[in-house]
Amino acid sequence: MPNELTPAYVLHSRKFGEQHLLVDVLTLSVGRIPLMVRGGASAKSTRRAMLQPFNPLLIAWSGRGRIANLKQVESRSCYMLPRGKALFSGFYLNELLIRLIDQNEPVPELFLSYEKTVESLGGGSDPDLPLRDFELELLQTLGYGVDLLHEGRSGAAVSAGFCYNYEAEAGLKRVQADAEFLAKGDTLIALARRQMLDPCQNREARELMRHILGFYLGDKPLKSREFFYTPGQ
Amino acid sequence: MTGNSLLQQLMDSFCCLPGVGPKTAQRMAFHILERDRDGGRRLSRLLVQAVDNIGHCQRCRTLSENDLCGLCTNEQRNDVQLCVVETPADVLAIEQATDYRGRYFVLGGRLSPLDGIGPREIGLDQLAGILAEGRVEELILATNPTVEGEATAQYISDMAADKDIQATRIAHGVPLGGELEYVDGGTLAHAFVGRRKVGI
Ligand SMILES: [Zn+2]
Repeated sequence: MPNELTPAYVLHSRKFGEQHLLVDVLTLSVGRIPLMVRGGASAKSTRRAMLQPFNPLLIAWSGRGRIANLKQVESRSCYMLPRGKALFSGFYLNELLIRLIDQNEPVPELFLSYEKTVESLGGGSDPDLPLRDFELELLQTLGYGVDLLHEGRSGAAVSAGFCYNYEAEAGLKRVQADAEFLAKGDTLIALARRQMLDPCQNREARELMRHILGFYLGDKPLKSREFFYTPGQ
Repeated sequence: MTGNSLLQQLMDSFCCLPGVGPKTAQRMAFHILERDRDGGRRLSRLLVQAVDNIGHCQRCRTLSENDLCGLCTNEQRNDVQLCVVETPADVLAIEQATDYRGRYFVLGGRLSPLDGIGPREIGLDQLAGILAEGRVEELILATNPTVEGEATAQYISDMAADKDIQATRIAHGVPLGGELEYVDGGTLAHAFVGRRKVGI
C-alpha cells in the first residue's frame, strides 16, 4: 500500500532539525499519518513548495516504524489556495482533524468531505454548507453522529416550527418558545438535507456545530478561532 | 581526546550553529587553537556581550542593543510606509536588495494555529498601536509566501482596512514555500516593486 500513490493533503508541517520536515498528512487510504521529508526544509528543496496545506497531492512513502519517509509527491490537480477568510476556515478544518482524529485510522468518507470543503474554500464559493457537512461527517467518524431530524430522548420528529437545544450524549431537545435555544426546527431540517440556508439559519447552524464540537474539544479552545479578526480589538 | 575534553566540548558547541557539522566544527576548533588564539578570544568576548546585550527594539521588534534600533531612530526614514516581515533576517535582506526607505515591523514568526501561534504571539497588538498613531499610509506585507505567511498577511490587511490604511503584498517571483531570506536580491527587489494591493 505505501508504495502506491494515494491522494493526500498536508495538514501541518514543521522543521525537524535543520534539513528535514515532519509533515502531518491526511491520506485517502490510511487516514492521518506523520511522514518525514528528508531534506525537505533545505532552501533548495522543491518539495517544500508542494507540501503546503490545501494542495491536492498524490504521495507515496516507504519504511516501517512509527514515522515513514515520504518517497514521492506529485500534484493531483490545480492548487487553489483559499483566500481571505476562507484561508482561516481551512486552518480551522486542519486543527479539528489534528485535535480529534487519531493517526493511522482510515477515514475515507471524511477525506472526501474534507476535499470537497477545501475545494469550495479555494474556489471562492460559499463555504458555509461544506463546512457544516464536514463537521457533521467528522462527528459521524468519531462515532458521535448527530441526528438532526429527531429528538434524542423521546425520538420525536423535529418540527419546523419549534426550537431546540442540544445536550451532550443525548441529542436534540425541544425547548419552550420563549426559552433560549440553539436552532429552530427549520434550520435543523434544512441542514439535514444539506439545503441552502439563509443567513439567520447559517448562524444557527454554525453555533449548533460549535456547541456540539465543544463537547469533544474540551477546555482547550481552537487556536484558529483567534484568526477571525474583529475590528476594534 | 576523550569524549569530554575541552577540545571536544568546543567542537560540540560549534555544532549547535546552523550549517556546521562535525567536520566543520573540528576545522573551526583547530583553526582557533593553532592559528588564531587572539581571534578566538575576541570572538568569545563578543559572543558573551552580544548574547547579554542584544535584545529587541521596543518599537519594531528587530534585534537591537538599544531600546530603539538604528532604523527606528533614523530620521531620514519615512514614517508613512511600514513594512511587516517575519524575521530580523528579512529586514536585512530587504535593506540590501531594495531602495525601501520606510520603517519596519518584525513579527518574529507567523500566524500558525497548529503551532499555537496566534495574533498576540507575533505582536499584533503592538502593531495595532503603531497603526493607531495615524502616521502610516501604506502597510507593506512582506511575510513569506507560505500558507501561514499568506494567512498572516490577510489578518494584518484586515487590521489595516479597519484603520483605512492601504495594505500591499509583495508578489512577483517569490515562489510559494520559499523564504525571503533565501530569495536572491534581484528577485526580492522585483517583488518589492511589484507589490499589489490586498483586496478586502
Ligand atoms: Zn526598531
